[in-house]
Amino acid sequence: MTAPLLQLERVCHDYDTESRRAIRAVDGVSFDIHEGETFGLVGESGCGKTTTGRMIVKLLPVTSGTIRFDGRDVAGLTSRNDLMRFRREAQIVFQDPYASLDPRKKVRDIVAEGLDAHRLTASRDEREGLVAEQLRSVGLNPDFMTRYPHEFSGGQRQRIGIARALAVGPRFVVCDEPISALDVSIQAQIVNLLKDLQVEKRLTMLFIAHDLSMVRYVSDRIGVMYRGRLVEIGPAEAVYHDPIHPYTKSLLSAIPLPEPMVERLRRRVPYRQDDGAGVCAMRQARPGRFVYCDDAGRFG
Amino acid sequence: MSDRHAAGNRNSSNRLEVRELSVSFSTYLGVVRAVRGVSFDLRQGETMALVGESGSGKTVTCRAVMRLLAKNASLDSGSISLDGTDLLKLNRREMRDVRGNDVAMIFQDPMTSLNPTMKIGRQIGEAVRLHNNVSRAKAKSRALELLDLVGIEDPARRYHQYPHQFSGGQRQRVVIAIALACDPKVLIADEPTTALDVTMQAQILDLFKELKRRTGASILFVTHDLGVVANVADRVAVMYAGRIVEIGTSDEIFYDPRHPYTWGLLSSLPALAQDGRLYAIPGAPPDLIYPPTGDAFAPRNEYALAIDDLAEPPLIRVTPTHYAATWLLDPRAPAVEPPPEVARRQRLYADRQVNI
Repeated sequence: MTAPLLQLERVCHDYDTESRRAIRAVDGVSFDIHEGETFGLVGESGCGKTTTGRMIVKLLPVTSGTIRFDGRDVAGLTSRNDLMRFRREAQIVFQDPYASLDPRKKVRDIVAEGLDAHRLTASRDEREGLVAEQLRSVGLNPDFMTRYPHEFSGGQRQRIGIARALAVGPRFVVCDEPISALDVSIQAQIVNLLKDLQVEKRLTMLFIAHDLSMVRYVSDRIGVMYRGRLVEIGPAEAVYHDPIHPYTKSLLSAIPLPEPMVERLRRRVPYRQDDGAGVCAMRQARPGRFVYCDDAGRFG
Repeated sequence: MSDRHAAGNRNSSNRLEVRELSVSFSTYLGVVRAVRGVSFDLRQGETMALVGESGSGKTVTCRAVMRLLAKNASLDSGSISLDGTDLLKLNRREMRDVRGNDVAMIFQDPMTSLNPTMKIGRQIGEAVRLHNNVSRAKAKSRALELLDLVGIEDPARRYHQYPHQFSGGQRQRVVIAIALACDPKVLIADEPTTALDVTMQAQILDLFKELKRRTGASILFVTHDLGVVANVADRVAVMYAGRIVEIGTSDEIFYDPRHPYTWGLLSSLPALAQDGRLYAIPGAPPDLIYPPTGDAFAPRNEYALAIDDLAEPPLIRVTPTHYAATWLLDPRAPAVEPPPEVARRQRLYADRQVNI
């Protein structure tokens, strides 16, 4: 197998490092993403999934551990040239399509933000042409480029955010909860779009969300985070249908299913850490399935 | 067979009766017909879900009940009666008395519905004292009681804390406590879990069910998430383009839906997706400045009939509790095969009925 495109090795991030009460938001997270793969990262609010995504695209520094992109340590990319190249290759789609688009810019200039920063267009016509092409590829009418964000619905705005991220031709995209602010019927459209674009542009993706049901649908593999740690990694369908770690089970039991007959009988499974657990680490429980536990299989 | 008023006659078990409600907004682009003739009942002690996508009129319907519409809104027609009193005929003062006392509303975003500069105990106490002439001490003990009721641990300590010291889920609990301050008969919850993650959502949904059991309040629950609906609702009303297009018991809507829009919603669910693509309802909802003359869903409806362009279908009766606004229910309509996901649900339900 070829080397993974992205490798995280015992990555940590502390917020408030200056104060005495530093908060370890991400605590020793390790995983790989292979070229062309979609990796889903799930967990509840505050588990560190967004922090992880932001560290990967260098919007946040790594406190300790290493992130390698295409074999190079991301922390070592400090020269302007290196940074520019990295930012062309790794892009991010943000969660809130209302907050992430500058309300004073026209769609044309939002989508061209990356093209301009990297001076990828030689003339106005070329710039216009590229923006039109991006808008078309995300299913928007190219005529929209002269409008402002407030004229669009949430789903359309998210399409604009996707067009902006893809305009510079990245290899890797972090999608940070790109659908959680959208209506269910629109979520399906955006998920289908992301799946199509991934195949068409041969993208590698990190898809972050709190709801496993959509994530398993777009992802090849899933990592489940709890309190800054990865607690389970495995193939998407396996994790969804047959979770091993009790936290994953608990998270799955919290998703309401659109089946009243099932919901009436369903009980949530609360999660409690096993206080008796020894030193925990990611261990292979079954082929391709990893869980965070001690050597006796207790989940700490 | 087709009977608009059969959606409910005046009945003593009805808490809230909404009849032919129409609300429009004047905007610089024109008049938006946001709610176009909505009728439904909310019975004593039941939870009814109002489902639909953004702009379908769910929130406007709720705000009309609370009489909390924006300045550019106009209540064009209809009546809203609570235990027989028409709320639309009350003056401002009388309405202020109803709000909080009889009907209370919980908003979507727990981050913005609390005052960040006020301790939460005082915010709850304020709601108590605003409606009841009680002493500060009484208000405090009631606030502590409410915090306990909504599942906040250690109420005596939390009473003195500020909103930022609470997590999103806990803040929503506080908002619910404020809404419950005066034992309202009707609780309107507008997407109360949408801003929360699934773990918090599950806890808040459990809280709603617990509250219904303990307080006997009727709950109107607005959401676009069908999983949430299946979890909390006794009955469901599906809204599209300012109208209720289907209404029935939870089982009827989930296992024997009749409206093609409901079919589309159920077919686009990820939890049931097979390999391949998610189903997405094509197109976008109509512009309600110029509502179509026929069925508003027709342009997106693969089951549309010729008559859909000409006349808007009324709510047609399926069972005494189940109505759908589609010409497919007319005896002259051709028989159609519902999409596979709906057929699967119908089979599932038929099997289950036999087993029971």
